[in-house]
Amino acid sequence: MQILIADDDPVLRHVLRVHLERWGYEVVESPDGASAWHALRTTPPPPFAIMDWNMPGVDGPTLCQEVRQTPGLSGMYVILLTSNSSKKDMITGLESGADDYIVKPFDWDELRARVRIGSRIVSLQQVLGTRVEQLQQALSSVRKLSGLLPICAYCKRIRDDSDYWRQIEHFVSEHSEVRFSHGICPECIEAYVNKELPSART
Amino acid sequence: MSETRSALVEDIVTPWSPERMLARLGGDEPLAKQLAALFIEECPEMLGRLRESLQQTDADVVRRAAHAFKGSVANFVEGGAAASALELETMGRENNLADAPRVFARLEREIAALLIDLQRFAEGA
Repeated sequence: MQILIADDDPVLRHVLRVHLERWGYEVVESPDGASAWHALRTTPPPPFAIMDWNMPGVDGPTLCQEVRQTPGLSGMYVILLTSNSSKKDMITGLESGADDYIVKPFDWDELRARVRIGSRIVSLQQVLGTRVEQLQQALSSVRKLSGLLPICAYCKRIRDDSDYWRQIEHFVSEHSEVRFSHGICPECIEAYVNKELPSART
Repeated sequence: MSETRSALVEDIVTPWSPERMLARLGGDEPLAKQLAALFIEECPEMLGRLRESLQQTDADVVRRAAHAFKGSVANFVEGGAAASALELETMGRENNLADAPRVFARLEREIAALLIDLQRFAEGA
């Protein structure tokens, strides 16, 4: 999983990179808010970002707000790093859209545990995203059989999108997983088969 | 250690502790040395930005530059240069820069002392 580190302190960026890579993550670095924003707009964007509160240009909370308002980025997991330990700052940081908040200097074991929580949430979101996509596909094939169908009042053929009158079983087979096995119901045996058989015998 | 420190910085007691830093990094000495070398390389530019901000006399610019510098120094020390940078940050926040040149001069000496200690550490002495 790719993680973006946005921090203007080169020492912290390096030590963060080393730790995250040891923990199995791929790292992208940005030294300021503007280049972080640029890195977040790549395709596909990193699903996880660790941002410093104070950066030249765009600060961490502003970047968080931008992320939350941008389609395609709004699901990103964001940890804000800061040396502000007051409750007021913590609330401001979380309200800006950060998922978590860590006060510097932090303990590496604590960071690792918090990054793990974040990566678990990112993985769950990715699984959910795939499921939603599959469900939407399934739903769109079900929708093919909903709505108004023009049907012949006599022969029961259905008019398709290309203006062809199709046998109902062909139409349904093409628009669903349904397959037909042909038989004759008792009423039709009476009405057609038995009625026509004597004449066929003569 | 003090024999190679310049006369300018010999009275500064740097609260730099390799043991504390190593403990924070799980005893990873190569990484600690990399970080020391990186700070030595980047410090002049960061300190320069802080010096420039003081010349501009814009309190908020000073606050930001001092905050950034404090953050980087705090990777190595808790008091000393980090405390002086915090003092400058507070002066910037309170828009009271009258005493800032004096504090910055002290910070420069503390940094000079810290850099000497970090250099020795990074070189493995």
